[in-house]
Amino acid sequence: MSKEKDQRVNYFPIIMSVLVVMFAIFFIFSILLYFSKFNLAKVYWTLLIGAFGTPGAIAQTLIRMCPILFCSLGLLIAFRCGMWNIGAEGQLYWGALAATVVGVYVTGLPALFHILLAIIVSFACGGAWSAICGYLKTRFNANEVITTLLSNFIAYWVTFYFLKFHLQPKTAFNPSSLPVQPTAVLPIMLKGTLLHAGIPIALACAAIVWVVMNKTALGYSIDVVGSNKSAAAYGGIRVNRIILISMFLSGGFAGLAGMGEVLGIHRLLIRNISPNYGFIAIAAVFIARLSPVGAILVSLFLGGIMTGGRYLQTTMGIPIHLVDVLVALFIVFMLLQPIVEKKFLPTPLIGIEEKGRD
Amino acid sequence: MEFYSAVVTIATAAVMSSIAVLLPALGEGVSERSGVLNIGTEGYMIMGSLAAYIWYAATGNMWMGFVLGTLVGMSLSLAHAVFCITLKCNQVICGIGIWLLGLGLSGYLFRLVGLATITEKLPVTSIPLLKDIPFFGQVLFQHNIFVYIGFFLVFIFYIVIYKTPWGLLNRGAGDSPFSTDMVGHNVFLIRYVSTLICGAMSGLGGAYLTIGILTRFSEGMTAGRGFIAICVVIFGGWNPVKIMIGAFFFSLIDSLQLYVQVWSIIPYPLLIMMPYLLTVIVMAAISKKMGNMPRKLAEPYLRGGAS
Repeated sequence: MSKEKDQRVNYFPIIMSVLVVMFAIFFIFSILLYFSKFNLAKVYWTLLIGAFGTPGAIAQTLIRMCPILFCSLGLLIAFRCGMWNIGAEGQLYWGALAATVVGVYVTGLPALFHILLAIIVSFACGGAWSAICGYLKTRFNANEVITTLLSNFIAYWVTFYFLKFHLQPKTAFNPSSLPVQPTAVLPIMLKGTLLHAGIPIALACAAIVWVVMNKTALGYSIDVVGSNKSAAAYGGIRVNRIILISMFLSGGFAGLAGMGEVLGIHRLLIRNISPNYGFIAIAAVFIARLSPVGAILVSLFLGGIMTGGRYLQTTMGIPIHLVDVLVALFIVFMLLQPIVEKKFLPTPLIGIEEKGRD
Repeated sequence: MEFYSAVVTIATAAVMSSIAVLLPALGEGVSERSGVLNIGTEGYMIMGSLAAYIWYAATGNMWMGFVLGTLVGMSLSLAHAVFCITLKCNQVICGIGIWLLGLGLSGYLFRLVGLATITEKLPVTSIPLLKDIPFFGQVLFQHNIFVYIGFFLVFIFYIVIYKTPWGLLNRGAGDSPFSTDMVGHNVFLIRYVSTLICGAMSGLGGAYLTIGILTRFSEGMTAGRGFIAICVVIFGGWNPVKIMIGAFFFSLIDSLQLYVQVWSIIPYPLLIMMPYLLTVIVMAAISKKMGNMPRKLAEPYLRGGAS
């Protein structure tokens, strides 16, 4: 997936194919809306206003962008390594659990160190959870798709177990933990909104991931392992180690997403802390073509859709599930983007690269 | 005596609910054998149950509800087939997308339609003579008709997979699509048919869930049964009979949780987690030698490629 430096990237087919696929998605979506007898123009306008219309809406969009961005940063590392990690959701839950434990039960630290500790622990927990699946792959050759998929549910129920039987105070009726210490709460960036410090952290992480993937030996090794394992081994790269590292980093960033949700927004652990952010991020990474910069834009876009959808529900009474449908259409149809892209290529040279990915 | 009746109740409930996992798992097994991984089973199921529910609540015709659920599941799996077999997209991502699509679409349509009638349960059909066997008669032979159909389907699937030429082709498409193609069989067609079988069985399983067990529809009510089905397939080593045993075993765990909650031996979230954990362990154990696992699982077949 990495672009060679000496080869000029032709952006025309990429942009055209994305536009075509987007058109197809919104066409199908419009058919659905049309048959549900909603006013198309009004729905789209409300969606836009709800996502970017007011400062408050933009803040909400950014807040929803944050976990998607974290998860997609993690996923892109694993995907580039050729590991189909679809366990970001579960890794997010582990991160959230770890952040809660640190946030609630560690006391007496100054704010900066407390937050730093929470970040490190949630990164390590999410990463370790993901690295288990990586280990099962390297040691036993267990299909990582299945193990990471199922690890989502394991993580969800284990988190719920800790929440229900250990973190939940006896007096509470609903499963939720104690609120985190004030020192662990991510500070609000802008008065009057909920813009928490997780968003700049996410952007900084995107920059770090970009540097690691494009400028370091580790990033290069990950790309090589992803495109051809035997060539990588022949070139002296320790393939299993790279797989483990990439899975650890992948889960770690997903864990940070959980940390952001707990310390930034809810300030305590609740049962359903993530509305499938980990799965939505898969769409984000695909649309972003496994690039960190693209991931920022795409997660902003998806965050906007989710926020707009909420607004759509409150103003027009359209069920929030409509947004899930739209996101799902994105996941499915963005798979077609490489195929459409080939139609726009002047020469079929880049077909070689595509074949290498499979 | 109280213990005995509790055991009978749990086992009966497990047999009844195992069908909702068994049907999709049988379909998933066939499609995985042909090399197509249907992660979206959960999506097929919930759409199938919604379709069956709406039809049944609107017209009162139970059997058409089952047919419609099956057809809806099939049409979703057709989408999966077009994307993954013809267009050679990534099966994992497509499956996740179809799962979320089914989840969102079912919730959306349910809210729009807004029917809230509780449907009538399937009547219990006891099998004469057999039902009088102590314990087993009560657990196995006093159920609604779909339980028997489910067990009969296990038999059919076993025969088709192991005793007919098509079963071999199905296996060939998943193990070595290139050689299957070389001998002159249409790999794409085999995979299409297998995927459609998976969709149909999942839709049927979803319909059974609404009409047979829960008698209502609620958002996200399949509650991971589609994923449990994937677990069961791996757990059962792609063999219909073992899949049946696995489905019963996992449903037993599921029905135990109500009692365990009362007895408080194991915390119930950990019990619900068990099937997933066991499957991961099984997966790790069988992967080195591959065993029964289809060799080209989740790999699109490129004609003329070195696949």
